[in-house]
Amino acid sequence: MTLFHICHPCVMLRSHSVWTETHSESPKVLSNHQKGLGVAILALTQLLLCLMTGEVKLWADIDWMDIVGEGGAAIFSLSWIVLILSSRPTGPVTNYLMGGLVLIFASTWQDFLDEVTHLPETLNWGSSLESIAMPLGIIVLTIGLYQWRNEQLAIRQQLLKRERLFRNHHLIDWVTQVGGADYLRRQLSIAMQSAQSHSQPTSLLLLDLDDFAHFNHRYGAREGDRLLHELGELLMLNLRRNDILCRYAGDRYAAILPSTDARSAALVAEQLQLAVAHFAFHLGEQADAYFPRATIGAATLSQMNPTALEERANRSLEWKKRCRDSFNTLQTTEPC
Amino acid sequence: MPRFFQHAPDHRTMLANNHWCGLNDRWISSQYLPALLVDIAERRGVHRDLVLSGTGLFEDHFLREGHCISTAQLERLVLNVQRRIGHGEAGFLLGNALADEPSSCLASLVPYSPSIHDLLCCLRNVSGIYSPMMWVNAHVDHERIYLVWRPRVSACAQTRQFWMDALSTLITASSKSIVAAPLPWQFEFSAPMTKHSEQYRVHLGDNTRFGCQVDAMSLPRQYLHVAHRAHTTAFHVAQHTIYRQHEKLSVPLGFYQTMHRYLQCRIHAPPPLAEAGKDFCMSPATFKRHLYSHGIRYQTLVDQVRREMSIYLYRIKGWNHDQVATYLNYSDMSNFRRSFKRWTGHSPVEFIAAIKSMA
Repeated sequence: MTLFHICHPCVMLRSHSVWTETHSESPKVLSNHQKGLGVAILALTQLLLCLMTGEVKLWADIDWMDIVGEGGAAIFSLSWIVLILSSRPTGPVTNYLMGGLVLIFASTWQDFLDEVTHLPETLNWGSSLESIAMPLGIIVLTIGLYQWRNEQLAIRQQLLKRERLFRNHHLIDWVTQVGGADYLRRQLSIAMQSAQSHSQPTSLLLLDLDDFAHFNHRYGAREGDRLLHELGELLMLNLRRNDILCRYAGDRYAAILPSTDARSAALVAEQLQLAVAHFAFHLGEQADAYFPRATIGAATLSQMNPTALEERANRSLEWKKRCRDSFNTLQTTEPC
Repeated sequence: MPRFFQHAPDHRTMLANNHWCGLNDRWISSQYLPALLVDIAERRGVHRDLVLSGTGLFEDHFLREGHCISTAQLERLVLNVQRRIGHGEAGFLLGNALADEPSSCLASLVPYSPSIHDLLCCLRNVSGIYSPMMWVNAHVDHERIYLVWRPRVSACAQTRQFWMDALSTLITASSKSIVAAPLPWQFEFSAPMTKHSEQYRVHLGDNTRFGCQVDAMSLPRQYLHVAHRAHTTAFHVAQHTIYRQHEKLSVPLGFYQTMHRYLQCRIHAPPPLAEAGKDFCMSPATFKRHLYSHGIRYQTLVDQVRREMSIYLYRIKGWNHDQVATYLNYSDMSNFRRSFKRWTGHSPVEFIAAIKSMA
């Protein structure tokens, strides 16, 4: 290849794309199963080496307290590795956490093996493994935890409008991936408390899909769940930065509007209703879409009373639904 | 008044004490309710192995024609589902699935039912299909129709509210789809108030009361006979199909149900435990063990039957204190008052005032 060829931007570009292609074709990422297998091989190798180079201690020489203490530490560090591998996606943070925990496990496992086998003084690699692996493991784990913190901060940005100040995964609704009614109540009392200290009102919107039972009956409950999920994403996009969206129950969503008066709440409700009215929900791969409609009830309260606010929002929603039903029957029964 | 609404217990079935089924008798088809429960849990991301764990039911049983499970197995299945699906949603999901899912045998009945009365008639007669744990009695007074639900086989204290959630949702959702508007159903639950009040609000409306004397739902009578569509052949076909399905299942009387009917017959002079055991062809010790395994204590059940009867006489028959006390064989009014207070926590006068305020 001549100098021209090397310096020509097209060639460079091409060579770059070739590099990225080959890189993406064979990503050298170990799967979590392979990592788990690696840990098992490591533990077995240590065991075999100890058995080959040393000799098993006599029954009387074994200190059972040490066995319990060190064996327990090895088992628990192994369980942490399993928890990390089973819950986290592959990536640098997982690798650091994994690496640190594997070193700690190797050290505690060796510690345990030392209690049951006796290595000769001249070949005592076991104690050096113990003393090097443990501090190294703690350093790598600390780096991993620091990276994990940064990752959490990045994820929190993505969870904006879904959670604030307080997290409890038990309270997350599985279908919509937003908080459930318990989470709503906790957030509502936090929001009302802070609004009251600034003597501002708090508003609550409850949004209910019209004819959701009919939709479920026609297209199946799984499509209904998908509609609820996508509707949640849509509502989230149409809320303000400080608002929080939760799933109340069934097809009813709740949005907390902190420090918002009745007029602004009505405005937000109107915007949400417009957004839902223009939402084309596609069933499978079809181009045809279902256009859901929603009814929204709103309530605003200045005093600190979350239960009363929830009750008022429910009543407002039920009243609007009744009005809508009677309007519909009026339209169908009146001659044109 | 239609025949099925009359309060007429069949005395002969009560004495057929060797025809009832216990906790471990297999009669519930695993292809219907258990399969629905597994599907519901999967919709909420719960793997079927977790739902089926400890039930003795395996995946291939769903495909085996005529495979049945026992009440104990179903109860375990429900407990698994309840524990895995959060937010107190499980019962309501089952109720909606029973009313809506195309695989549900009720799904073909609901859209063709001409009136609420036709629907409730049919639902009452085939309750063994969709509600193997609870059985229903229907009563009508001059204002409302009442559906009262009681356990079928065992006292099933842990899953009772789950079934009530499911049955209330089924009745509400199916009657709503006939009328195309929500109906003013009123719900009374014997369980104390749960923390998931939002589920009741969304699925059943704001007319729910907890900590009541019975598990019941009621509707004003004027909604019963309004015809929303004509009696079509499709309705008769659906009705016929579901009745045949019910016959094929040959739903037995549950042990709790049999005990309840047995005592209801002898409400004037409830027999002592030993005598009741003799009627059920068991020694007192075996009978006691049997009652215990079904979550029943004899004296509690006797009191419960008396309580339910007095509530029925007060609320539906509109009888006065003397009539009720005489019917329950109390010669002394103060004695009756004391017993009534022990059963319900209220004196008869307070209870009548509460009924009037409810109306």
